[in-house]
Amino acid sequence: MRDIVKPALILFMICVVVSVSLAFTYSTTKNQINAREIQAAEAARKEALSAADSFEKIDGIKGIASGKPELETVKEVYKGLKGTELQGYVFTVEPKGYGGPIHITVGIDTKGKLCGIKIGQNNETPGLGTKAAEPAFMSQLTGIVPKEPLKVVKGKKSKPEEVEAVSGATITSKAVVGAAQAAVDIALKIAEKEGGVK
Amino acid sequence: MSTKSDKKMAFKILSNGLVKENPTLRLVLGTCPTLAVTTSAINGIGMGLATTAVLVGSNAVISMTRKVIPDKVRIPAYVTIIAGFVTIVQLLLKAYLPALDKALGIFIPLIVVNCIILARAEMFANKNTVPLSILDGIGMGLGFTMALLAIGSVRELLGNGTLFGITITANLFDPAIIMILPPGGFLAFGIIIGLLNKFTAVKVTKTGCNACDMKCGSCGRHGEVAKG
Amino acid sequence: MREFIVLVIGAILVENFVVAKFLGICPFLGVSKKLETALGMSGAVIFVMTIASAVTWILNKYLLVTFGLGYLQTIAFILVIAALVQFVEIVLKKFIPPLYRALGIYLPLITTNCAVLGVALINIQREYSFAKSVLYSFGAGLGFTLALVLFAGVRERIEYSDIPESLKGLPITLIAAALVSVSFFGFQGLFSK
Repeated sequence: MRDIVKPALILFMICVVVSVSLAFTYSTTKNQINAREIQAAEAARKEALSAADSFEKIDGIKGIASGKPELETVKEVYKGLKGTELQGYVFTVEPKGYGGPIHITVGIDTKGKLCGIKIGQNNETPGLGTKAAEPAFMSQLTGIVPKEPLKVVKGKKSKPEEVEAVSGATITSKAVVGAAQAAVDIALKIAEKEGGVK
Repeated sequence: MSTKSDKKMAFKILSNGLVKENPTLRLVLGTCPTLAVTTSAINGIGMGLATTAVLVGSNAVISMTRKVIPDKVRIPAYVTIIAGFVTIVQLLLKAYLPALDKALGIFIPLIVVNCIILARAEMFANKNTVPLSILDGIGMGLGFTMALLAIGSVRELLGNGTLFGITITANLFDPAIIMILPPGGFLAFGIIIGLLNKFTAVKVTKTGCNACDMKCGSCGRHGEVAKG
Repeated sequence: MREFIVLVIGAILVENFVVAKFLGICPFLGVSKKLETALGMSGAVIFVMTIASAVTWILNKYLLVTFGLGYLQTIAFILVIAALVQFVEIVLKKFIPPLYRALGIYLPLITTNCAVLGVALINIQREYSFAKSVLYSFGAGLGFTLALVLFAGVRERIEYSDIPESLKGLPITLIAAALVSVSFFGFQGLFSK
């Protein structure tokens, strides 16, 4: 009996000690991690729509997106304001990439221009999918006012709405471009509703 | 034992992990992270140092408790301690180095099953003093880091034309993307071991983590481990 | 239905655990020397992976998330897997001796097979539903089997080939693995429309 109880007890003690030290580490790092995340999200919004200096979350995208799976990737919409003046909208989009959801922040100004796209948390292949965040790919998407649906192409692009895929990472490229398109679509719907985006 | 031989001993343990028993290139343990995260030099270093931190911590604690933990429940006890350190490292990375945490992703929690760590617990920490075990952890950890850095550099240079993100090759050659894709991992690792076999005295012909004639002891068939 | 089929086939071919995700490399290199051991190991891996993903999914959803203990995920999962492997071993030994004889010696090796912990973590990371988690893990196990069996065939051929002295053994095995990995690349575009 003793040779069962003693090892079990010691093992239990180890579990308790480890759990307590983890709980301690967790509680000391929790605020830091949260603050980092909030800070990163705010920074991403600022980067996506640099003309604005404050952001206000708006509701009511559920109604717009419902029934359209391609729009349901849009999780949050923020109004970008400078003082009280509307500068545009910022969208938090989570399309599915190669390795699960990719967090993308898309900024669109009141003229319907794609101002900035920022890729956040993702599990794409390092060195491949993650290249979608680099200027070579991103510069193709920013600064354009899409007149027709955005499209991923392999090889050379022939018009602004075409985006050259990152080689070896077509799935990621499509996810990012799809996210931008979803944001553009929702921006248009909001414009119809509020007359904000012309 | 005189101080001089103490120092000698310490140096021997430290250098053991770096060269003679390099966990990656000699013992060939922990092949999964070796191949998976070495798409760039910086990821290699990051993974190496994260593993070193866990290794030093777990070696220290396991050595400290080596007289208390009953033989029977040794493996589950070690796994619990190691998992604890892995989680601490994971939380610290999330809080202070979020970029690295993102780059390494799932391979951070998977440090738990890196055979290097359990192997050092079995082969060293549970029969040596705390200071020596810490030294062993540092040596082995840095040996792992160095190997990952080497493989990561080769792959990043050939596959992307950069080193630590800085373009090196200019336009001398088109980077061969395959080197940073999964096949490149196998290829780079295989060729590096082949070159070491050719130019050094030691021949490495099989993995230490052989899953059948294991040296790491993670399988629970501990008896054979120490002798290995 | 189509979604589930795509998930399983994708796990086997497109994101093969061994050659595309680098999970479970140790057994891939270690027990692929003979077809027979490769099959034994694979059987045990499929078995444990599927059960482990079901158990860890429930544990995560109803215990860790409910009580805000997400930070205990790694430690909880690895302990569950270790306990599960022991449990499976005992049950098989007692009730299905033929299966135990076939898989028994591979079971203890599985606790530290990173493919098992890996699949449990990926299920949570990708926010799969219970059914999807179990199916994906099953597919991942099948993918592991496919890679191991194919590679066992390749290695049996290597045994009889003329290889430069310094590449003998592990180096040539790794180079051959690179080629197997390249061959899986053909499936890369399978589901991208």
